[in-house]
Amino acid sequence: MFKRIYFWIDERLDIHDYIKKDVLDKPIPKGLNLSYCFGGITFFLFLMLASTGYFMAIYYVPSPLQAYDVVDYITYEVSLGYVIRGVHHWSANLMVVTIFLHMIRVYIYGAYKNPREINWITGVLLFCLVMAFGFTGYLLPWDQKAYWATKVGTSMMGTVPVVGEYALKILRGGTKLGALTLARFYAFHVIFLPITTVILLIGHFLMIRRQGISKPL
Amino acid sequence: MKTQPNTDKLEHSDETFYPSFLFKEIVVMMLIFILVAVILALVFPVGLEDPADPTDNLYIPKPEWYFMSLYQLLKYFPGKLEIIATAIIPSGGIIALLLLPFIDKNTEKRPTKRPVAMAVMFLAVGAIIFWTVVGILS
Repeated sequence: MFKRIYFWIDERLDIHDYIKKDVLDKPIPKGLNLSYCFGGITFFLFLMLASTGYFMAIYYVPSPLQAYDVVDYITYEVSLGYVIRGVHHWSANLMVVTIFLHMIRVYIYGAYKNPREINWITGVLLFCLVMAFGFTGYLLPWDQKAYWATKVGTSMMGTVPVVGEYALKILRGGTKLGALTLARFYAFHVIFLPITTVILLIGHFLMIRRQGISKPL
Repeated sequence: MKTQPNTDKLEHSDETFYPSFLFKEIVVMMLIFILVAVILALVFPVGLEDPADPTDNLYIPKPEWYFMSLYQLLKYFPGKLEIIATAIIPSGGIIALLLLPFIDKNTEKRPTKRPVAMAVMFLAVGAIIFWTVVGILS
């Protein structure tokens, strides 16, 4: 059955040779240990975050008047809503750990060295995006914890000389933390960050395909 | 002038992406899925605190654990020195990471032969973990 569908697609797109040669039969170094999986796990968690995020976005309203009630509704009323939110929450936390471990692995094995400098840089940018995801996502439930953590976090930005004041205003959408802040954090969290992440991820993966996995030591 | 690209591409190897590595990845991903979706999400459900109250000045803010090290750092640089913790150290850290391949031009990859690089890493990771723990406990 699956084979027939696959052949049907292959007849039209002629992808079999490509998949066989460049993906499945791609030579990889011998003796890759489990630490080589951290990057893949991080990507997998990103997929879990995206798919649970879609479901929450169905209900979520980025307004101080409704955000809290909506998150409350997702958590306690929507069937399996607490699972969706739980998976999103825990995947996010775990993702910070796995991307950190992935970076440490790459560092220890010297895999960032020539010729993989560009891929290291896209990786660092992806790390920044993960932190930005965490920072913006934390505000969305609009509970006490979310509000005050974001208040402190954004005011730290305001201490930067010269540009700090402007950065703070851009971040908060004004001087105060309020409706505009929530709206822009939400837009950032569900539009800007995911699209940027996907673009960088495509680059990250294509470069691995092109250069191969760095040889273990 | 285009020089020969420096890649250590493997043209011949006994192992291929499928099945060896793909299999490993899929098993690990399934374990992660079970961990996150079944164990964590069901056993440790995520709650909600009270709705945000901007007038409540008694609330003690605590950032998420992955920002805790930065938050803790802030306490060591009071007043005018604040910018060291809020701007100089974090942005310096990210810039250092971005430039890492150009700072560390040593072609040696084995960690045992790169004592300086390893020392820097253990110091940085140690400091981050230390401040995170101190921040969470305080």
